[in-house]
Amino acid sequence: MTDAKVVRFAAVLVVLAGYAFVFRSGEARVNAGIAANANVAEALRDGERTLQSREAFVRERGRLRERLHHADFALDRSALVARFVRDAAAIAVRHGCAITGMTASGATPLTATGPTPLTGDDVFEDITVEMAVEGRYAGVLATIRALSAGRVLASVDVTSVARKNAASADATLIASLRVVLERIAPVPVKVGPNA
Amino acid sequence: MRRINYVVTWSERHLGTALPPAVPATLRAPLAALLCSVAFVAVVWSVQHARLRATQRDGAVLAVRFAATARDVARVRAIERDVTRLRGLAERVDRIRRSGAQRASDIAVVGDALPSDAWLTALHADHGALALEGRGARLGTVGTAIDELAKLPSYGGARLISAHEDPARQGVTYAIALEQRR
Repeated sequence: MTDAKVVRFAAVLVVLAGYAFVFRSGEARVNAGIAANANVAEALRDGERTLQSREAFVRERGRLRERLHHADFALDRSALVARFVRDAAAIAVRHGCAITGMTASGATPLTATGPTPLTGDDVFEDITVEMAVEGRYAGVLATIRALSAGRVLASVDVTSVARKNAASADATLIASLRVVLERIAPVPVKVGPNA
Repeated sequence: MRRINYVVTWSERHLGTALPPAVPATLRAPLAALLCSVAFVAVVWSVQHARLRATQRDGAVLAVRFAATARDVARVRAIERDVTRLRGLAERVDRIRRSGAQRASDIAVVGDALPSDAWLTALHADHGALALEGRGARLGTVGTAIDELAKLPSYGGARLISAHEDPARQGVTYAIALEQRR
């Protein structure tokens, strides 16, 4: 091979090496930088959109707090049951009915797993109350309606409705209801070695 | 034919002696090509370096802007989380508050669906299904009642459990099950 050929070969090698090591590797680094910048820019735009919706979130939070203002979630168990018993008795009297029996079972802790999962740390606790309401048809239905609409968060389910005396013409009904009282349980404080 | 170069070279003119050429004529073109290729690579490197610097500069500017808004964004995200929690809570409260009206409405709808000469004496609920007991003026009334109850949109269908003449009084007693809609 002559010197001229060696030099020409070297020139070709330099161009190839420049393509491989300078152009290609530089291109990869530049593209990686552009991609990283695009991610940051997207995060920035996302943040700006979030900032723009701040007022709307604040308004909605105020509205929701106002809406939930009347519900007593944080009463302790005894106060909750006491308030429900008082309210239920008043409701029954108001609709011409009588509560002839009431049995409460123990509290069951519930994690926030309703149809809409709650994202906070809310842990609900329920207290089931079985009760019997006696009265006329319209009064019993009105009592059932009103029980869940009171101050205490009470989910009402009807177990049975039957005439008090099936043999007689008396139209008095006895409704067996299962009422679940709900409250937000206090979150237990974790005590560990580093606490 | 041999060509003679009569031009006096730079070395002859200034040094008084003719030095041999540094680069033989045959190597000049390949060497020029080599120098061009080196120059080309240098230009490419410069361009890529400039692009990389520009990208890094843009990245630094974006990072500064991002850092400037990060605290405010975190505050708004906290409000957003609070709103999501409150929405869930409000939905749960609404569902519970509607439960009594919903149950009363279920009972009223069943009562209203019965023909005028049939009436209920008892109703038992079990996981969305209902068992009805009642009385009717005659057996045909029970058939009409089943027809009407089967039309109720909240239930999957009405099934007769029993119907027989009431020995104590005139008419029939019946038991019908309303199945849960699947």
